[in-house]
Amino acid sequence: MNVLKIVVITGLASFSFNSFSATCSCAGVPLLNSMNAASVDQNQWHLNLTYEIHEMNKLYSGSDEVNDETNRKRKTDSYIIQADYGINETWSVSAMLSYVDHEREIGRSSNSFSSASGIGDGLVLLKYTPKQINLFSKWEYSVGLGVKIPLGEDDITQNSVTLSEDMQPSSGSYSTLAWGYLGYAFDQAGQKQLFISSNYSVNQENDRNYANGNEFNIGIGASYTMKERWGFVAQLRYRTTEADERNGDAIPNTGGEWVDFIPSVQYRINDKSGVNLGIRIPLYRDLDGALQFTTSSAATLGYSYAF
Amino acid sequence: MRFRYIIFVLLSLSFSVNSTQIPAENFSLSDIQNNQQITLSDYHGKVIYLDFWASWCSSCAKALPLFKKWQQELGDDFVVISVNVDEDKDDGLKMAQRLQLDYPIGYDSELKVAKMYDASVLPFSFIINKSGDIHYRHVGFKDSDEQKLKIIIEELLAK
Repeated sequence: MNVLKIVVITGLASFSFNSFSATCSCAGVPLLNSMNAASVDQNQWHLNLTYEIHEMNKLYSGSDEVNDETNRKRKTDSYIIQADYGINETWSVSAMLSYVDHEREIGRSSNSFSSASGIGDGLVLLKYTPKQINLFSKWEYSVGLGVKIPLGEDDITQNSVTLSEDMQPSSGSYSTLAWGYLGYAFDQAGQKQLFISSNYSVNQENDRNYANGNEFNIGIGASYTMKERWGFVAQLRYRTTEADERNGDAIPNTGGEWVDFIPSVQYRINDKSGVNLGIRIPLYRDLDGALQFTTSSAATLGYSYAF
Repeated sequence: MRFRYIIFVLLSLSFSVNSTQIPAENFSLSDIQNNQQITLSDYHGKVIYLDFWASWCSSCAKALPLFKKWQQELGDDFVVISVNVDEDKDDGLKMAQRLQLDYPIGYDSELKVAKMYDASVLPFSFIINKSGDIHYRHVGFKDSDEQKLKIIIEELLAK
């Protein structure tokens, strides 16, 4: 109860000084992808709905693509709802919830197809942004700490056999996440910006003693927002993961390095809402083990609403 | 009990108002349209709507014509003073001419006045009472703000 009182009093102290509505320098519809958008104005909400289609039909040995004749299809459709709230001028919180639909087909036998869908993992991230791009600052930096929460099922079976971890909607395990963002605006309106965004997650074991490998992502990108409605973002992203583990033993053919180019375009419908479309173009990958499936194509479609 | 706390917090978010009465700092700027000197203290005794804006700010573009209407409706005891902060003066001038703004528009080339008032985002505005104190501070602008701001101004004019 005391904690609740402190939260309420702190909240009131933070919220009782100004009246806020849509501003220009750093508010409105976020133009960067959700995990890249650093700041949310005080007392503002940003809601983002994102759909991602991810096909993983490429087979790699190290950094070499392997061409074989196996009939193979692997696809994941993800639906992510994200809410960001600006607690005050420096602190904000983001929460995400995913719904995942996995499909896999290998070979042509009667039981070659498997699928699973349901609520996936959730994420809560607390962000501290001591510097924001505004009239007086061309720099923005932000750091955050978060936790990934397994909200969905991780033990779905098919024909009485539990599906593999990569086919489950949820990882079944908690993760802790560190996140950072650095942005620079070349002009007063913030139309031309450069940014670096990174995160590192440490993954725990689920109740079947399986742990996804720890993961590090870093992206460097540039954004250009036209005065009226259109915005463009180009990002180069490096991702590396350690091997997955069960009972502390590394799982073969997991882990590796990926480099992707991610261009996206945004369209501002009005002051409050916008849509964005992005694709992920694989440039390089060096995957651990003898053979691994990896991304052949991926695209996202998002809708943002600020209030 | 917890539900009441949540409602209380949400209400405080919706109706947050700054009623702190601190003196508005004086400044002088050159008018972007005619180069005449604009000095805040010259308008002492009037209710002043002080607004910071730039040509690239879409919310500002919505609000600026409204202030022109207020200037005409609210009488001689009310004045709008706006401060343009564009990096390029011509951008601000073109917008003022396009919107046919007829109230004083100071050009704050080095953001000295914006910094004085801590107007870091746009639009950012202040309602100054007849005694020269900042009565209200408003960040951003949306359609529903018009009525709310006008009521505050009218209350001050009636005092």
